[in-house]
Amino acid sequence: MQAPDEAELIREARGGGRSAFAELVRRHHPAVVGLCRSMLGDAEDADDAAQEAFLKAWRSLSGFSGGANFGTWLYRIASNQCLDMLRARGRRPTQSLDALVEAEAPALEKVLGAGAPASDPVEAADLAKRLLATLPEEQRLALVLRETQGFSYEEIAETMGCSLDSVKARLKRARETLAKSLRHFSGPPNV
Amino acid sequence: MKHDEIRERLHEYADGELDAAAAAAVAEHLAECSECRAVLDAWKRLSQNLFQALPAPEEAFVGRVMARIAEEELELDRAPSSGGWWLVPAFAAAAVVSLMWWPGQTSAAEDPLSDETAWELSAQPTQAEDVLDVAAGERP
Repeated sequence: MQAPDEAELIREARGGGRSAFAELVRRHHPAVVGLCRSMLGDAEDADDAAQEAFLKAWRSLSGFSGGANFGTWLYRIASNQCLDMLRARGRRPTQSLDALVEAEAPALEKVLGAGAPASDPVEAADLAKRLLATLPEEQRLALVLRETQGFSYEEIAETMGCSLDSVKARLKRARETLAKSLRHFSGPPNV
Repeated sequence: MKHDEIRERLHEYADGELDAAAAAAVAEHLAECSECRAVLDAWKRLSQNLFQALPAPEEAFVGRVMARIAEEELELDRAPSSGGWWLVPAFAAAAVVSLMWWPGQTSAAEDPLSDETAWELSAQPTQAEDVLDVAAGERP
């Protein structure tokens, strides 16, 4: 049997169809949870944020315009949820990027140095989360949407509610910052 | 385009965000400039080794979300008989007041805004909407 298309699922879910909504959650949760993990770092917080995002989506489905991109709409809810949680946490003192790079030099060498593809994916994921945590929230979100979700600049702009120029600037700053600090491990300096 | 201009747009090129003419100019430059090639190669390696490694979530997540939806709906169904019906106008009034304090705030999820200020506003908590939803007993 052919899987129902997304528009059909949305129509059913808007009418209160829980099984249709469950299918939408099934299709989108890897990306939503991945986004929340990249933004929040902590797996448990990320799970909570993603659950809240889906609950908000369920409650707001009646107001969702069928013409809009459901994925982008959903990721925007999730992004806002993550930012709400980050603000609620307050400004936790995070390790600076330079301090993190210095403290984790052996691990970074293992993950990014020669022969890196054979590195432990769990260790790499942990480093990625900690490196991302050192970036300003808007830069982090833009980079996560691009690098882990494969969003186009237009989709990032729609998700973040900003201009294309802002997306370009945020991505550029985030990449420059990381590349500069990790130049000893990943290659040439000054992106 | 000159080297510096190309350098500024290297990532847009790699991300497939340039138009055909600009992409061709960057590709031509990359064929000759080892420095720009090295910059892109370094980022590609960093991206592949770090960001692709983020773990995938487990399937049980779907069950947890649906269980919470069922739980919430059950609570909403019970709400009128629990004696808390008088809270509905109170919550609605509180929500209206909080929205009046926040004239730029609309549904962050439904109305993409278009500039930096809007991003800041739209990223703010959406509790007011939640209160309205709950107060109205709204369900899709």
